[in-house]
Amino acid sequence: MREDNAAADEIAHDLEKRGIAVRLDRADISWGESWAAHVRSTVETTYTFGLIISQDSSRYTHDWEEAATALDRRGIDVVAVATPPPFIESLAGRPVFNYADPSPGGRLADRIELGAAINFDLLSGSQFEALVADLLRRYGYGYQALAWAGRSTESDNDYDLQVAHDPRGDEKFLVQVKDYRHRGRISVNDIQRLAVRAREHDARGILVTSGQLTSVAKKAVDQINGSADHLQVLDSLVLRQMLVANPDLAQQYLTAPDTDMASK
Amino acid sequence: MNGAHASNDLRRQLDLCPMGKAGWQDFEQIGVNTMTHLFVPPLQPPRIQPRTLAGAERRDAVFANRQRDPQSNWGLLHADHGARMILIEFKNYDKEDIGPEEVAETSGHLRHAWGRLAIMCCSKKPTPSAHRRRSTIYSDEKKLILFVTAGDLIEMLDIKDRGGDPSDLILDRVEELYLEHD
Repeated sequence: MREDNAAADEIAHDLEKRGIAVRLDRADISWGESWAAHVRSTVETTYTFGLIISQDSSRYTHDWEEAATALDRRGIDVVAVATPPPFIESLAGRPVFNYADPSPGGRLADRIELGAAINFDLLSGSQFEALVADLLRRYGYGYQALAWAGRSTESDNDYDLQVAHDPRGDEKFLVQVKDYRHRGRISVNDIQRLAVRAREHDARGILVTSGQLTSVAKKAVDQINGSADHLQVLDSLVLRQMLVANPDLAQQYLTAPDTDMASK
Repeated sequence: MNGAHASNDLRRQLDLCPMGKAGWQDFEQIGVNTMTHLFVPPLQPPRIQPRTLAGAERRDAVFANRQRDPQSNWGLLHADHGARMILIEFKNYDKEDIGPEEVAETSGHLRHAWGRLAIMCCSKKPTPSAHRRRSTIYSDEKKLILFVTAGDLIEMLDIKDRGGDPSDLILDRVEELYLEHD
């Protein structure tokens, strides 16, 4: 947005100092045109899309969400950056980066480099499973009796882990983990089977994928959940945010390619 | 033209294509181009089949499927549904419904030697009675008629751009049909 040009220049300057290539899109969208449509058709391939937002341009929040969601589906890391004063904490499921002291340029560069390093395709199937196990532990999930070994025997591929989220183990979860490159998508059938198995165990289900669910699969999850939360989905977008919040795990499991950034 | 650039080009064309008679030929061409971008390879380039319907020339596309490994999506569709040739019919409707007659028409064009999978590429969602008709066709003849909208084509472009297999959506549509049938 025109209001944010000065902030965009400052942010681009800070990032370029760190060696991150930045392309600024200053397209002036006239009234009645869709900014989200402009972003969808302009952005082709980039590791990171920086969305610079300010209180002055807050009327475009819906457009930002639409654009961020569209780029998410293409696997582009969308980083929403709010210039001071901060007025929004999250955007379409991601925390908004607050571009304020201390050293905002350096912190933003760290965030972008970390996001660019997160490439689940670099992991083997067992590495991805180990990463998921560590992340679940980090978020307070403790293991119960069944572990990975249960996958090919008792559970007949319906789930991979049984975990609990409270010290007494009252709140049980069955977890199915699929790394997309080796085990393919989480299908509608997988979703149905995990839901049935979770009901049998008086548990809830967690579906973890290094990819994303199709719209058909998402609809299947929504239909099962209804107004409750029987199934949770940790897809590549959620996992990326979890790793950004746990950079030590990201660094432990993943290595960084070159970074590149397009910015609005 | 690189993959992401081609995808963006096709997204723009799909967004701009007018619904209804005015955009029928464009819809067919953009649809064929999009499916070719998405599925060739592993499918073979499409053969275009002209036919006349109510005095207007229509063009369907047929993609040969030589995938036989059931671990792959198209190989699984061959194993489960004998999908040797994939028939795509385009329905660029505006105010009119995409209903049971259109489903029956597509089913009628699916030749025995091609297998039992056809895709109706639609500008809008088919009606509930169209869904019922395809369920009956599946019960009686084991023919699978999938509905794919322009929005689905865009989603498959997104899947391809993020390095995934766009036919994942096709398989999920098949599983959705199984559940609908039950």
